[in-house]
Amino acid sequence: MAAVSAKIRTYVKQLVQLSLDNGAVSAERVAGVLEYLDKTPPARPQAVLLAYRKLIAEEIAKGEARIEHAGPVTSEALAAIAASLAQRYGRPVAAVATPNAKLLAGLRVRIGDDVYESSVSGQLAALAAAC
Amino acid sequence: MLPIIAQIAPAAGITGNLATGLAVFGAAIAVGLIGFRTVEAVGRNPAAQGKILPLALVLGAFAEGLGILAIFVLGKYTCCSTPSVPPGRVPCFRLILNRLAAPASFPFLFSARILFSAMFAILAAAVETTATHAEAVQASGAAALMNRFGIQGNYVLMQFISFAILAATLYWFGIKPTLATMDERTGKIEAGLANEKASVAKLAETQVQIVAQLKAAQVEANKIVEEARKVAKELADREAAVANERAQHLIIKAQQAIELEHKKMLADARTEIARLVVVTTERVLAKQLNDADRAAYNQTATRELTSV
Repeated sequence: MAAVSAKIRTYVKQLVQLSLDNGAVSAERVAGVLEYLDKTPPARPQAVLLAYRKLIAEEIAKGEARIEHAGPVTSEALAAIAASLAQRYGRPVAAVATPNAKLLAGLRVRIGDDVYESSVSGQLAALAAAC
Repeated sequence: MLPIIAQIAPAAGITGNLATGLAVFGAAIAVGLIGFRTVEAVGRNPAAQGKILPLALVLGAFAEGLGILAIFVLGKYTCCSTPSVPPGRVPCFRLILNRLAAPASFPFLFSARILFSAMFAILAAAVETTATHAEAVQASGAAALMNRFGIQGNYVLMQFISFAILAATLYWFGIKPTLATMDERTGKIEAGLANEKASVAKLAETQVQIVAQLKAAQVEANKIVEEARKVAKELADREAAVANERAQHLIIKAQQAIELEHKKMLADARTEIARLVVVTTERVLAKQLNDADRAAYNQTATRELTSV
């Protein structure tokens, strides 16, 4: 994206806004945008598409919370975490549980570029970094 | 006095020519004086012997020649081998010729004697005519004495004149230059002696000055050496102080480096210990925690995440 001009970046952001439905990426809307780009290709179609894909992936990532856990975690806990994150970010968030034995115990939630650490290994790593 | 002598002389057998005797006496005195002065001059300046002796011999020859001429011209001629010559009277020309032919003459005086013989012959010829007139005078007492000893006024006058000429010539051409040379030499000797005294005095003064300068130089040299020692000591002290300061600085830096290294070592040790603790804890927890513990911990984590 560094080589992408500001004009293309602005254009792609507009396309991404058009692809959201209630803050979440909609498949139909994405198809519509793609169809539009196909019919009216921009000046630099490849750059635009790459930028569009990158931003759409980020939006999708924002809408999906990867919950890494060690040990059993209930679905209610997952739903509560998803609801909390949806309230915080103002958009629907889907929780995806991923087992990770390296955490020893606890949870690690990753949504977009944000990471919420609440695991034993994370605390031990923080302790090690503090020492 | 003269009458007494006129009476005693014939009885005592005293004969001769007083004029000749006086002339020879003068010649003897002259030769003696010449010898005296010659010896004195050579004694004062032996280096000038080569110049003094020939001149003395020449002058002695002149004086001697005059006396000899007087003997043969004025006096009774007894030593020459001319028996035909009447006693009391010697012709001048014959005397001159005999004398010139005399084998007893000194060879190196030959030229001088020729000169004075010629002069004397000219003078003798001029007064020859008066000789007979003088003999004819028969006076009393003194005149008879004078006639007996052959003292004739004309010859005495001639002798005085020739002596005067000889003396003047000797004085002008011989004695005066010799005296001038001797005076000059004396002056030079005196000047040299004076200079010698002045030189000796100056040498002594110079030596005193040299000694004083040497002493002053020694004192100055000692001062310079002392000053150099002082400066060297100050320089050495200064350098030692600088070296000590540098050493202290290096020691401080080394101590700081050691302290930093110690701290770093402690930090590294602490980090390694923490890592080991974490790894150990992880391993222990991985083995010790069961699903129930994990589930409880997950619920706690869920509460923390939802409350943020």
